[in-house]
Amino acid sequence: MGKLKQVSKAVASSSPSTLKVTGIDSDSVYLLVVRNLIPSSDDTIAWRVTKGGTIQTDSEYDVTREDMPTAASFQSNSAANQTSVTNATIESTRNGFQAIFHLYNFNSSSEFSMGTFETTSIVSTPQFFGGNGGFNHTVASASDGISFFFTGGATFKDDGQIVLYKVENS
Amino acid sequence: MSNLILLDSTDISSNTSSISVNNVFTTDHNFYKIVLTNVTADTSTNDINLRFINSGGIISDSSYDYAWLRMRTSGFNDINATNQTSLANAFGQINSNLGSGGLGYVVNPNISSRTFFIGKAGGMSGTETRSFKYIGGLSSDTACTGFNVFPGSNNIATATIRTYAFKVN
Repeated sequence: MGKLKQVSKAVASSSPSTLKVTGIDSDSVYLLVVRNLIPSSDDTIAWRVTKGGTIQTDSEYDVTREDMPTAASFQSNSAANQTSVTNATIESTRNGFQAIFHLYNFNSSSEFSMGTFETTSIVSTPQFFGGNGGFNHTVASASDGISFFFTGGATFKDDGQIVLYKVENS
Repeated sequence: MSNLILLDSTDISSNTSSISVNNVFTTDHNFYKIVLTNVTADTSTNDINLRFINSGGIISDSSYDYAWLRMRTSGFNDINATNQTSLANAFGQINSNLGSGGLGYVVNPNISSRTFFIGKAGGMSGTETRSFKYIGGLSSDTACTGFNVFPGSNNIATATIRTYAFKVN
């Protein structure tokens, strides 16, 4: 792995409804570290890409993932033509959603913006719940970042954090 | 300067039944990466397990929950459990001197909260290739200062364990 260079970060403060990082401006791979995204009430975490800093809400998100709960059967999930990439229903009184993303081809004007993710969370069961997957924003134009929100309208508790790194020399 | 900081490098070159890497988790960072390479054992099939360390030593009570996907050439397995004494197979399985490798991310170890783990590993066990995807954590709220890697039986013969932190500016 090449050097990691921090590009930007967003830290939840005063109950925001979205957390967004931008700054992808090269063909390098980018790494996103996600920590303690906790909803104000139990809610489903989701994400979207940004283009020119604007969050994309079109129906162009495809995702496949393998969910691995610690106290239930594993699930193979997929969806196409969604308005966001949704994941687990996060429990509001513990430590929330943790993840590491690798973002590919975001800077390309002729390829889809693609990412892989590995997650672990405390979900509303409650139990540890995580998994692995990948997503595409199926629009062949450049994206410059990623944004998180809760689909049911919950806000982020303070200190939730997303940090975007560039993998240099990749 | 990289935002991925090397905190510790531990090399094992003779049989040991327990490897502790302590005083790497601090309040300075909240997201860590552990990389294991060249892991071999003195027995043919062995699990590589993980526990965390707090001020009381190695945490070995029934406070670990995990779920992992084992991908073998002979078939796949979905395995999960709660209230376990370790994160079993957190770094996969190995076969004697054929070696294996893996990495894990540890989140929030040094604040008094749940400690989260995300891992993946690959290697040989028996005569087949085995790959692992792993999630889990410590279901008690405690501040961890380090971690302990140990085999399911007998000894780890060789290993290189590197611990990194993601620095946030």
